[in-house]
Amino acid sequence: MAYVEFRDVYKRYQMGEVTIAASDGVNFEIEKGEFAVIVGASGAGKTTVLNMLGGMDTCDEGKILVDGKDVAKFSTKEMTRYRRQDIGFVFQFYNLVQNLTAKENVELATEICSDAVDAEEVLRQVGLGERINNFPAQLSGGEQQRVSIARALAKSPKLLLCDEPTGALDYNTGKTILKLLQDTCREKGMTVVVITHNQAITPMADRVIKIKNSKVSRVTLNENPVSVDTIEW
Amino acid sequence: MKKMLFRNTLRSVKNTKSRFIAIMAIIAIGSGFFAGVKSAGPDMKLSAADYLHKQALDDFHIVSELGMDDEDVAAAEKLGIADEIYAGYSADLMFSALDGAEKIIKVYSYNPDSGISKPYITEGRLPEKAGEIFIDEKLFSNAVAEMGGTMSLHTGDDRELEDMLNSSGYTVVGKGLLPRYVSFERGTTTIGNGSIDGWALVPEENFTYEVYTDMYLSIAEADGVDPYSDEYEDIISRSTDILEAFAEKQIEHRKSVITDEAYVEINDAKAELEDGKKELADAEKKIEDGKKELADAEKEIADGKAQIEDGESQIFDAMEAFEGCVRTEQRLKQIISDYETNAADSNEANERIDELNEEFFTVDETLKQLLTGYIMMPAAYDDGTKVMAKQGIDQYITAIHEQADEISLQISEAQEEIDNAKQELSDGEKEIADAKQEIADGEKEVADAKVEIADAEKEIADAEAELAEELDGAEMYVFDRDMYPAYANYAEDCERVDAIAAVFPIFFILVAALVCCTTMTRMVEEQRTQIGTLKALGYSRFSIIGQYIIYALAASIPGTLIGLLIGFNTIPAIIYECYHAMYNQPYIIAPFRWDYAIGCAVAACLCTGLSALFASRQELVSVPAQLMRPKPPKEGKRILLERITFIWKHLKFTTKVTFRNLFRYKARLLMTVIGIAGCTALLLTGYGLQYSVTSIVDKQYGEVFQYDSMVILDTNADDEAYASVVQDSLDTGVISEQLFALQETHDAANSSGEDVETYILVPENYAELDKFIDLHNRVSGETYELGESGVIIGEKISRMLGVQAGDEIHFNEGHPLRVASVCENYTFNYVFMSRADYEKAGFEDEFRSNIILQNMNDLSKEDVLSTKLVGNESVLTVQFSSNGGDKFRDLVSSLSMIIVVVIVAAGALAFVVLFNLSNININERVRELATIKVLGFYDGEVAAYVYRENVLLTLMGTGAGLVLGIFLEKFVVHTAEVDSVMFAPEIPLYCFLAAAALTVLFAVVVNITLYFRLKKIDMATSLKAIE
Repeated sequence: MAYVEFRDVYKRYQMGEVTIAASDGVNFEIEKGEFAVIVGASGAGKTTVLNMLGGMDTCDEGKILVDGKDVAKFSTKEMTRYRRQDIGFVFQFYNLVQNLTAKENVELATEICSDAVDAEEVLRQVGLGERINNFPAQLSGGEQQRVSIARALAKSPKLLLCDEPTGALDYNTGKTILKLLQDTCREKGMTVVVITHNQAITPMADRVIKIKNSKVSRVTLNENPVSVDTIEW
Repeated sequence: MKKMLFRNTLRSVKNTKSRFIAIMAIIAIGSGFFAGVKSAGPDMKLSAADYLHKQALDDFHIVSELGMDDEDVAAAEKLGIADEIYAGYSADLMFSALDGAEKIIKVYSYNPDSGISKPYITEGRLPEKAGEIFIDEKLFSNAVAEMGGTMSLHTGDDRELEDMLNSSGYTVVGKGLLPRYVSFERGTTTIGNGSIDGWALVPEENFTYEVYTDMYLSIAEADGVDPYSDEYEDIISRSTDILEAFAEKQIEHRKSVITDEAYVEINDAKAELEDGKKELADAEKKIEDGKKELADAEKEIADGKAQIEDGESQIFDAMEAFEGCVRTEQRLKQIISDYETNAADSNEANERIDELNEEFFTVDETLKQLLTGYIMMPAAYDDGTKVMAKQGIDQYITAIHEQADEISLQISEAQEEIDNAKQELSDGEKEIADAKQEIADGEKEVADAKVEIADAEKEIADAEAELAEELDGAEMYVFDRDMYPAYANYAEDCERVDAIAAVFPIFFILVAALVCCTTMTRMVEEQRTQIGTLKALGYSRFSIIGQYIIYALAASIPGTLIGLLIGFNTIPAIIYECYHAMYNQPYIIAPFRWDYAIGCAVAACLCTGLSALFASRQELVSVPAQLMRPKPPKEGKRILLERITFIWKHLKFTTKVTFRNLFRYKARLLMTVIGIAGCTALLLTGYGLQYSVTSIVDKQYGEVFQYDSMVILDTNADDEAYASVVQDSLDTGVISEQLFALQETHDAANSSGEDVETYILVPENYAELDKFIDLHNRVSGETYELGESGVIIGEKISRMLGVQAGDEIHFNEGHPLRVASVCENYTFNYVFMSRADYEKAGFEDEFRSNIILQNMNDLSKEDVLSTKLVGNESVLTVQFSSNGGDKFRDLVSSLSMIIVVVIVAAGALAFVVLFNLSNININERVRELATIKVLGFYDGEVAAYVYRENVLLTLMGTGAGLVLGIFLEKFVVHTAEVDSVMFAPEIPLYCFLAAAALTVLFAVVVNITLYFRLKKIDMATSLKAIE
C-alpha cells in the first residue's frame, strides 16, 4: 500500500442549481519519500486535491489514505491534529505572521507540535542561520519562503505540501526554493508534494500527477529525476 | 455620481451587511440615547405644562386667616390681572376607610362653572348635585373608598361639622387627579396625625361657611405660557407683588368687617349694660323712695295710733258724760216722781233739794234754779206756775236725754271711726311689712344686678381683647404654584434629568464616532485595490469619496432615524414611568423633536462622513499604481518590553506574540482601549451616581442626624406652651432626651460676597448638640464639637463658598463668624452655631427656639408621640428621622431608575463597541488566522490566540475606564447636584467592581460570539493572493 493514496475521491460544490464536481473521482498514489508534483491548469482541481490532502477540507466520497489512515473519515478535531502533526504546509504567499521574527514564525509551529525540531536548527538548515531574528518585512521573498519551509519542516511532518511555492518568486529564487525542497526530500527522506501549474518543473519529480477537468489524467513516474539546476523555464 | 459607481456602493452595502448594520446600530444607539435622554426632561416638563394648562391650574392661591368675602373677590377682580377667579371653601376632615382606619381628607368645594383647577377624571364623573363626592385617586389605591359607596365625614375634633358642611354623608361618584397635587404628597394639617391622606370635592352648596376660605386666581398674562419658563416666573413675580399688596389691603378690610360685626354685638351688649345700670339706679332710687315712704307710713301709723288712743279716751270721756246724763235724767225723773208723789211734804222737799244740791247743783245752776223753783215753790202757787216750772224741768230732762242721745251717737260714731282707723292701721302695718319685704328683695336684686353688670363688663372687655388678638396677627397669604406640595420638586427633577442628560449622551456620541471612524477606516483599507482601479479608470476623487460618504450616510441616516424613533418613544416614557411612581402626571407627551433630530442626524452624518473622508485621505492622494499593489503589510517591530529582557525572556511564546500583536496596531489598540474605557467609565459613573444619590439619605439620617424626631413649634406660642410640648413628649414615655433649637434659612456669604442658602441650626445649649447631631469629618471621621464661638458648616457650603476651617462667613452683611470646622452633611446646607454666635451675627430676630430635637427610646412608638403632639396647639408638625428623608428617598428612587437606563444603555454600547472592534480585528487578520488554522491550531487555540489580545485590551480598557470613570462620575455627580444637596462624593469599591465586572461580562459575551466567527474562518483564505 502506498504512503498516500486517493481512491475515487469526489468533491462537489453546489453553485446555485448546478452541482460542480471539483474532484470527480480522483485516484493516485504517492510513495513514502517521493518528490511528487501535482500539475494542472488553473481551475483543473488541483487546489481541491491539496485542500483535501492537507486536511483543510473534507471529501464527499472516496478514501484518502495517508500512512494507512483514512483522512476522509477524520472528525474536525482529528483533522486538526493531522494538520498539526503530519502536515507541513508551504504557501504561495508564505503567510508568515508579520509581527513575528523568522525564528518566532517557526516557533509558532513548533509550540504546538510534540516532536518538533529546534527552530534555529531548521532555519540554519534552510540557510537562514544569520537572519533568525529578522521580521518578515526585513526579508526578501525567497528568504520569506525559506522561513515558510522551515516552519513546515520544523514540525517533522509526514507530508510536506507546497502550494505553488515559487508562484510569488522570481525565476532564480524560485529555483533555489525548489532545490531546497528537492534536497530536503532527498536528504531527509521527506515526502514532498508540490502543487503547481508549471509543467516545466515536472522532470525534477519522482512522480508527476497531472490533473485535468477534476480528474487525474495521467500519472508519470520518473526513473531518473533531474536536478533543479538543469531545468529551465 | 455615475450609475455604476452608485450601484457598486449599493452592492457594497449588501456585501458588508454586518459592517453596515454595525454602523447603523452604533449610530442608532448613540442618537437614540442622546435624543431620548435629552428630550426626557423637556418632555416631562412639556407634559406637565400641557396637563397643567388643560386643567387650568390656578397661578395663585390666596388663603386668609379671616376668610374672604365677596368684596375681597370683587377687589381681586378689580386688580385686572386675573382672567378667572374662583372663591371657594375647604375643610380638613376625617372619615373611616373601608378597612376601618381613620383617614384625613381635605375637602374642597366644587363649582362646575369654574374653569380653574379642573379635576382630571380617571373614573366616574364629577359631582352634579349636593351630597355627591369626587375623590382623590390615591384614596382608591389604598382601598380606602369605593365607587358608589358612601363616605361619612366627621371633624375628628371639637369643631362642629355643621359649621363647615350641611351634611356628613356623601356618595362617591368619581375619582381622579387634581392638578394642584403634583406628587403623591398631600400636605399637612393640624388634625389627626397631621398628614393628609387625600382630597375630595363636594358641591359648593354643601358648604355652610359664611366666608370663603380659599381664593384661586388664574393670571391672564400667564395663560399659555410655559410654566417652567423664565417668562412665567417673571409674570408670577410681578403678580406676586401686586397680590401681596392686595392681600395686605384686603386683610385690613376683613379686619374692619369683622371688627364691625363684632362691635355690633359688643355695642348691643354695652347698650344693654347701660340700660341695666340705669334700671339699677332707678331701682335703687325706688328703694330709697320706698324706704322714705315706709318711714312716713310708719309715722302716720304712729300718729293714727295716737289719734285712736285720743279717740278712745274721748269716747271714754263721752261715755262718762253719757252715763252722767243718763244717771242725771233718771235721778231727776226719780226725784220728780218722788216729789210729786210726796208733794206736800216740804221738808221732804227741802231734803230733796239738799240731796239735789249735793248731787246736781254744783253741776248746773240752771237745774238748781229749775228744781229749786219747782220744788221750793209752794204748792200755793198756782198750778200754772208750777206747771211752768215742771215744764222747765221736763225740758231740762229732755235736754239731758237729748244730750245723752247725742253723746251716745257721737260715741258710736267715734267708735266706728276708731274701728276704721284700726282697720286702716292694721292694713297699713301689713303694707309696711310687704314694703319692707319688697325693699329687701329689691336690695337683693340690685346686688345681683351689680354682679351681673360687673360680669357683663368683663365679658365685653374680654370680647374686645379677643377680637383684638384675633385680628392682630391675622394675615392673608398669597401662594404661588411652588407652594403646592412637591410642585417645585417636579421642575427640579426634570432639571436633574437634564443635567444627567447633558453628559452621558455626549459621551455616547463620542464613542459612536470612534467606532464609526474605525469601521470606515477598515472599509477604505479593504477597498484599496478598488479605489486604485477606479482611479485608474479615471474616476474623480470626488466620485470615489462620494461612494464612501454615501455609504456612511446610508448607514447613519436610517440609523439616526431608527435611533430617534426608538429614543423619543421609549426613553422619556421609561423615565416618566420612573417618576410616575412619585408624580401625579397622568400622561407623557413625547413629541418628535426636530431640533434634536436634526442635530443628531447632522452629528451622525458628520461623524461618519468625516470618518470616511479621514479614512480615505491617504488612499486619495496615492497614485493608482501604488493602490493596485497590495499594501505592504505593516512591519513587525520589536516592542519596548523586549528590551527589558529579564521579563521578556520569562514570557511564554504565546504571551510574547500577544504583546507584539497588541502593540503592532497602536491606533486600533488606542481605539479599543478608549472604547472599552468609555463603557467602563459610563458604567462606573452609573453605579457611582446611583450610590452617591441613594446613599445620602441613610448617611444624613443615619450618620449625621442622630435624633429620632424633630418637633416643629408654633413660634406664636409662649414659653409655657413650649414647656407643655416638652411635658407632653415626656408623658408618652418614649422620649429620652430633648433639646430646643432654632432652625432658620439664611443666606450665608463669604468675604467676596458669594452666597448660598443655608439652614442655620442653633441649639439652646450648644454643649448638648452632640447627643442629637454627630458632627464629624467625612474622611477622617474626626468628631467636632460645637463650641461657644465658631460655627460648623456642611461640606457643600465649604465647597460652594470656598471657605475652610478658620475662614469667616457672614449672614445678611452682619458680623462675620469664624468657621471652626467643616463637617459631613448631605441634605440642606447646615450651619451649626451657638447662641452666642447667633446673637453676634446680627440677625434681625432675637433667639427663640422653633424646634425640639428628640431622642426616642422606642422607635416603634412614633405613632404614640405623633398623635400626642399633634394634639398640642403649639406643635406644627413632628418629623421622624425614620421617614424624615422621604422626600429625598423618593428623589433617590426615581434617579436610580434613570441610572438603570444609563447602565443598560452603557452596556449596549459596550457590547456594540467590543463586538465591532473585535470584528474588525478579525477581518484584518483573517489571513493570519486561517494560516494558523492550517498550521494545526485547534479551534480553542485559535480563539485563545485572539482572546489573549482581547482580554488584555479589555483589561487595559477597563483599567483606563475606571480611572476615567472617577472623573466622569465626579463631573456628573457635580452636575446633577442641586444647591441644597451634596451627593456622596466617594465611589465605593463595589461600583468599581460592578463596572469592571459588567465590562468583562460584555467582553466574555462578545468573545463567545466571536468564537463562532473564528470557527467559520475558511482555511482556504490562506491560499488566496493578498488583496
